Amino acid sequence: MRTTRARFIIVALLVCFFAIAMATFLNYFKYRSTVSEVVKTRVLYVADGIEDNVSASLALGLPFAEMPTIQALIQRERTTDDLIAGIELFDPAGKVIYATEKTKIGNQVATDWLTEATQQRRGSGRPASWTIAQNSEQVVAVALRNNFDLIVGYLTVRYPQRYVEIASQKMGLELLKIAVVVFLVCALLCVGLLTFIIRRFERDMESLVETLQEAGAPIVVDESAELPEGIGESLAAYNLQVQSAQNQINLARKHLRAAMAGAPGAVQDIDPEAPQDSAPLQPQP
Amino acid sequence: MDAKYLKRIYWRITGAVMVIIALGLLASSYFAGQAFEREVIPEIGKKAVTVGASLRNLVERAMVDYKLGFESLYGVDEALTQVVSENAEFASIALADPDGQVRFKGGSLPQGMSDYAQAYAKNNASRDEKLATPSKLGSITSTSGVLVGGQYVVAIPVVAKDAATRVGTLHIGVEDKFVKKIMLELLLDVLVIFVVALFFTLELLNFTAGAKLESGLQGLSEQIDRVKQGDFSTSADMAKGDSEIDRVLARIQHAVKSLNEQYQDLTKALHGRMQGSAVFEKKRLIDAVAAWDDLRKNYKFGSRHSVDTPPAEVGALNRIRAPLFAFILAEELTRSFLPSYIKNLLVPIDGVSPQIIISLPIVLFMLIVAIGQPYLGGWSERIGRRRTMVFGASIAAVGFAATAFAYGLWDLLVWRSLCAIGYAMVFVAAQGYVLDHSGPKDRAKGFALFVGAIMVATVCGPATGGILADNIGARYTFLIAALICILSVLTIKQLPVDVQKRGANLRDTKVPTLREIGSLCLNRRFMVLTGLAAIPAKIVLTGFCFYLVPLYILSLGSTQAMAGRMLLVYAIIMVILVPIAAGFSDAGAKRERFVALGLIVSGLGGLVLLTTGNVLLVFVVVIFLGLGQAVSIASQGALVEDLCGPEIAKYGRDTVYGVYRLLERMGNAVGPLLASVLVIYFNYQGAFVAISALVLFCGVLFALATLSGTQTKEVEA
Repeated sequence: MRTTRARFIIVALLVCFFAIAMATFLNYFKYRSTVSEVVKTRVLYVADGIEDNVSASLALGLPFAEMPTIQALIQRERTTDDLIAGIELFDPAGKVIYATEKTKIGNQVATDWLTEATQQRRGSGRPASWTIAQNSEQVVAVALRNNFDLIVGYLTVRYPQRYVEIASQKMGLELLKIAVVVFLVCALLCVGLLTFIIRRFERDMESLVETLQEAGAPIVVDESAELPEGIGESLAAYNLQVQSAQNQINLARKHLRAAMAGAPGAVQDIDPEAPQDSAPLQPQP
Repeated sequence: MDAKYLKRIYWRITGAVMVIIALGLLASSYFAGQAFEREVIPEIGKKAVTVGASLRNLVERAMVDYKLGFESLYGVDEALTQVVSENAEFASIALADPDGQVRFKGGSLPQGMSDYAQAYAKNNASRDEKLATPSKLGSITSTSGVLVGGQYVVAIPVVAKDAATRVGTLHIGVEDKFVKKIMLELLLDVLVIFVVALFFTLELLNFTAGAKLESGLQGLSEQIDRVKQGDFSTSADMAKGDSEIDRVLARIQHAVKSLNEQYQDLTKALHGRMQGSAVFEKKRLIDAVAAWDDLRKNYKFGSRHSVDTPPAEVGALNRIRAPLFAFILAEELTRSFLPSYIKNLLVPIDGVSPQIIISLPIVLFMLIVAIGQPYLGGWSERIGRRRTMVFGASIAAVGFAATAFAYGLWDLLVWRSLCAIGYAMVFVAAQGYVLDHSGPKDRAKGFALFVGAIMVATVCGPATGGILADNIGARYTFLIAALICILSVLTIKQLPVDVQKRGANLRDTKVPTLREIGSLCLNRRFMVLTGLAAIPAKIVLTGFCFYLVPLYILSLGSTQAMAGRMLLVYAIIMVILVPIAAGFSDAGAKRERFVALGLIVSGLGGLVLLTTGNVLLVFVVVIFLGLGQAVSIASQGALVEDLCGPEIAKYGRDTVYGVYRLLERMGNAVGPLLASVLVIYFNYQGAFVAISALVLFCGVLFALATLSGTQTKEVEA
């Protein structure tokens, strides 16, 4: 029964672990996605401001590659938030036109950026922005459109991925501490409460075993024993049959012995160890 | 004693575990909420600083560069209101003058804002004046904010760049409800975890201890019953375990064995005396022989050859539950987010609507399962159930893993086909395994076990999958499905090796021929049930649950986890109501009525979306669908026998049921395809309504057709 009890408790602990781990896991990812979203929208706000400026310049008829205020604007916007690692504007072919790091101007953007931009353009619907993870940076991208809704280029704002990771790690550690404490308390409660509940089942089974152990043969059901519902009656009927069978065997033996009493040497035919009339039926342990 | 007694123990243990888990989840959510508030508010504060810096530039340009006063500024309220509406985390923005008077505002200012703004202006004047560049803003502004009337207010000074003159202050209010809303969403997920944990608990209790306990108690009960009937015969299978029940059983078995040995000894002695004895000696033995004869007549001794399912077989039957549950769970995990995953992979194909393309992998899956099952049944018989299951689950695991790395629609179709082949193989082989390891006596129990494992997986899978997809992404969730599939392979390998032991009552699976399918499709009685009930029921099920609900929920701006919750509600209704409805159906109630009622209820559900659509109404649709399906599903299968007696007599039971199941599963494939076509013409809401109207129409027609049939029968009778 100890193994059954242990099994039940292990199941309870497993399920507790599953539930608390899953809740912690959810809390962690919810926090991570919330912070990611807050940080993304924070950066996107800067991107939207630049996009408005580019749109205004395009509306005035300025070509995308010849906007005099954009370079200064992105330099200024870069300083509004220390989180921003860099801002780039590139044409549909992937050539960088404006960049906070001036050495990048004229270079080709990473293939991933261009592939993603092309996929977003071909996909159904028109997303306002999208995100690409590259190396250790997160890149928020926005398509720049002219008055005819044609894409003239793309704007990307980069920020370090580590920022969200550090925040998430900090929260993860805190959530882990909460989970460990809650799990330990739950585990203690489980062991205590289940031991209490399973004890009843164990008592049922123990009383059954005791009944069988103490009874000898034929098995006598102890009326005072608290047996599980139904099994008391079952055992009483069982007991009656065993007793009746034993009595009939004993009667047949008695007649056989009586018959053999007059026949010398016949006693050897019967097992000398065979039970006598009232010999108890010995159940083997 | 056994079933009720064991159930009582289970429920007590499950109840205790659930109370503890509920407390644990509440405690964990409460403390996590506190931690969230501590960490998220400063992050939003930082965003407020960035947004504030941008707004500050505008104000500075107007007031410092163009020397405009507060009185001359125009449209500031509208601009601030727009910023608030574009940023869900912000509740209000106020622009105060150097004395702290609020001059412009957007959103709803918290109570006490005016006093706070004035106090801020008075107390922070000197700090603000030191500010010259925007980059220093973050360092002097408290991003945690100050709690004012339920909003965390972050202050951003507006300062002239050159002379460090304070022009005013921007106060951005961060909604504390924002964090509470996140926590509420989390609590819904936690509730899902709680429900899933409840089913996991029951499943694990059964897997780890329950099955053994149940077979132990069953063995004990059977042994006692045999003795009560005077049967003292012994069997070679003696209890050997060390559990309490095994010990009790061992004692009883030894007692029985001892009686048996005494009887054998007596018989041997008596026969010994009788043989070669003289007549007068035999006369002396008359009483002993009479007593022995009574004993022989009243009781049964000797050795017994078990005619029941041997204990090992009882265990073997139970052992199918865990691998089947794990395998189905892997597939169910993907239900709530598969359509949106396909949508995200979508590369437009000229001439084909994206809606139809989204449905293709789902339709293909259903089609392969429908067509494959009749053929795979016979195949699994030949190569062995266990081998088929191992093979099928391995193929599906590859399919899931490859789906996680799918690049576009075409390769996704291939990977989903692998999953479908695997699913069909495991399903039919598990069904066959139950048939192989159960006798006529416990076949119903075997199938209850089979259906139970599937139902529990449908409860746990979609909701958990939706949560996982929302948090770790669909691709990782597919990888988790692949892992669960591999786990199922490992548990399948624990199943007993197949033995060729098909008895006389079991025949080889017969695949219906095309001629038989054609004849049955032209049969009125058969098609009334199949065409008006079985197929529409499956169309509405797969059309709604596998296609429309996941996509419509996302189109409403909700999450995949919400779609999972909807499917969870559906599964719970089914788990609770199907046995009850089946009980009524078996009790002799008119099954036609159950089927018709079920179809009508399913159909009525979708009509609630006729005028307006929102997440709550989709819940109503799913609840109606669950109720309708639960009421009709058990009766539908049984009606085949009730309505198609002549066809069964003509073609055989297997053939009629085979064609019925084939057409029913075709309905599964048609559902998402029809839904996708309807979405093109009527949008999501219209598609819900159109399918519902179709099912309602079929339900009414079915009711009229069967009612007239019943009346005709009654008149004939």
